[in-house]
Amino acid sequence: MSNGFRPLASCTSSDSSTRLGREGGQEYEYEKNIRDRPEGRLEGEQEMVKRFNWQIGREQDYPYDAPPPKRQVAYVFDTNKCIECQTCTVACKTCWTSGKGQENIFWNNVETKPYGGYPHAWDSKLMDKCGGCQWNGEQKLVTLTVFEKNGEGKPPLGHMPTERDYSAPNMGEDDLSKSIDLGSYFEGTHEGWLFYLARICNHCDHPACIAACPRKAIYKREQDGIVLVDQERCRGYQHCIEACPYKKVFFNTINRASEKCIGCFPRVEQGNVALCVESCIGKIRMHGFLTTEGPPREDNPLDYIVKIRKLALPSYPQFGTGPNVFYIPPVHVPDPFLEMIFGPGVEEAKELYRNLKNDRQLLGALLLFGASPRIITRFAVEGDEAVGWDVDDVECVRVPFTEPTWTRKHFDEQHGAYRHNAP
Amino acid sequence: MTRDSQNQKLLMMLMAGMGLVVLVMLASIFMVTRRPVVVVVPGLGETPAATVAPGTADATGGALAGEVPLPEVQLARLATLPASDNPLDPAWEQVATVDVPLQAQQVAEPMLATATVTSVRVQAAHDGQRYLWRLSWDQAEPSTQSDFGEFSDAVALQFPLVDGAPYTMGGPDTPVSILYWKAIWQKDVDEGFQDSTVVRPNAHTDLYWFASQPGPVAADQLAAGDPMARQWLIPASAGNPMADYGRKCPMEAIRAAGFGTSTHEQGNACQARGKWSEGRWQVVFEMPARDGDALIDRFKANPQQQLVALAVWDGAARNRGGLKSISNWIPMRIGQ
Repeated sequence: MSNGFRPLASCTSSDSSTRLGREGGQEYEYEKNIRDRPEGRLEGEQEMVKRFNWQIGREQDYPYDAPPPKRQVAYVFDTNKCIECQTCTVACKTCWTSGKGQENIFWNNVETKPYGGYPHAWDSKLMDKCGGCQWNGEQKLVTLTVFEKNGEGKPPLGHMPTERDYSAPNMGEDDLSKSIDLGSYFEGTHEGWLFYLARICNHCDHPACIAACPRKAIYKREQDGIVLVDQERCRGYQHCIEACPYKKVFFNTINRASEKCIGCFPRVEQGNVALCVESCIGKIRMHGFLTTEGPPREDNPLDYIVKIRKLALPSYPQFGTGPNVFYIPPVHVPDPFLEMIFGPGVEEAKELYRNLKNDRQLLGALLLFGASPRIITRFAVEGDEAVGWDVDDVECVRVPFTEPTWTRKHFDEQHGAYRHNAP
Repeated sequence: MTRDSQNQKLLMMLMAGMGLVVLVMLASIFMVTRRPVVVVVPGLGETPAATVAPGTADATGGALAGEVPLPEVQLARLATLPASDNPLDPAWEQVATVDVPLQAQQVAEPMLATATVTSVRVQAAHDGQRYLWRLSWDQAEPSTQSDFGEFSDAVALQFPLVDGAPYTMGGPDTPVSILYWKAIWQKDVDEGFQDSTVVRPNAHTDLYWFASQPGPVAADQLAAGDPMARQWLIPASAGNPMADYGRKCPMEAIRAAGFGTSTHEQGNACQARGKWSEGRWQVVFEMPARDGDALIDRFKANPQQQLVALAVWDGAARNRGGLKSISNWIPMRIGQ
């Protein structure tokens, strides 16, 4: 392993039978491929390497080889709690994209599924191009990722939205999956459904934007895995926009260069959560780090929710980029639609969620959502409280499982006034 | 002889006969369909159609009989040059033309499937003080935009800075110098910065909170003014040459040392001007013969043994970056 490549061993499932590792000095086939790779190659020729993608349970092609970052920035969004108030969108836009040329740029957006999407039909257009996706029983992707679809050494499969696709930031808002017959809403639960999907850059393990940029003007930070567009080197070719399956790289028409969510890196460097996370009034978001060096940790809330309990699932894992925003699937939405977006494991995740009241450790982790502006890297359930520690291992939050309630007398003797419910 | 062995012998003869028939058929097919076999072995970083080896300006001498002679760019020395700021100057009619065939860039990803511009006409001249090139090509409609999925027409001249530089943007130790003109930059210079307010005059803007009043704000005003407004103009602050709201020159001088390495060259004195007329782009590049310039020194040291390569981008076909129609090195001779 002269090139310093390490398998993404720590990024595998907690199930020891499927976990990859280097016990016994064994060498994996993809490691052999990398070792045997010819040193000299034609200039410009893009030679693929094999990288393990834990979300699809197999190795896949990717143009670049690199060790995983020291830790990977990651997020869990609870779709069951999102009310699409767009506070996250506004917080992000006010801080980062309220400049000129950024009118249609939303690093954070919240869209209504099944029909909404920004840019318009970002996901269904790519699924049309990819064809159907298939998983085998072991949660291994059988079909090809965007890196493999076009053939060896070719740029990732993608599509280029048009100006019109960016013209309606909340198209399909609150549209139900089907029309409700007149009067049927008086007859119990109706069949129509919708849910809100909050979206930011996924700071992927295998970013398609990086794979597509011929100038290597996009990079993934070693310290936290945040993916950034070099604003000095970008020449606005828009290959990244075409390649990103999530369409989270945007074109700035006056700068004539691409830009994308920066993961609030100045805040992350100080141990604070991203603005979209801190501003979320529904407390649907958790911001943290996935462990990349070593096995997932039980006391890391991100590792615990995503890797160990598998309550939260990546979006469109079949595209193969290894996204790092994980969603707790909405429990009221039918499985087939959810499996299209979140891949296998939807039913299990829903079951976990429905059973949360009996699952103290998992519930404890969820109580910490939106509980602190600090990034929580360690948590524990202590008695009737969930406790979080920040990046400096200083306790930053303590959340009770049951909020205390107080009953006040109707008449306030101190002020000589009656108390009313209304302010 | 038993009946069995007789049968066996008959069977063997039958099989041998069939084998012979098949052999004769195969041989006939081979003879009928035989063609002279031509094997083209591309050199490092060359497409098969490329025929000039890097660094050999006099490669035309080796042309095989029946082959189309390679185009060659002659810079005639003239006492008075055509106007550098008027690509349609009638004086260009006195200057020799050469049509250079272009092919799709298919060396590095992303590749172009087929050439979108198949030929570019080159004229060139100098007066000892300045070098001029006029490039022209058919373009039914000009593309002068830069928007979501929309790209601008462009053209480039490339020169090696050392012998042996690959025509494919140079190499790690073999840099090239590039003059790159872009149609939208020409429009920026001619008609003012193609701001979003210009491109979309009917777009509604309520208020940029850093602006002094509601409504549209011009980008160049922002850049020049309030630092609060500048903080979102990151590429401009970082010196990205793409983000220039007060563009004075429609071209960029570039140094490159391989694919993906194009780097803006500061302080280059070259100029260009392009004009679209009657279904054709005409672009004039002007290079002053400055002493101390590595490329000019090369021109002067060996005027008869120079090389130039060309590239054209068709914006309507979403050409940009590596998606371009290119030529190999072609010989360039500077008249004395």
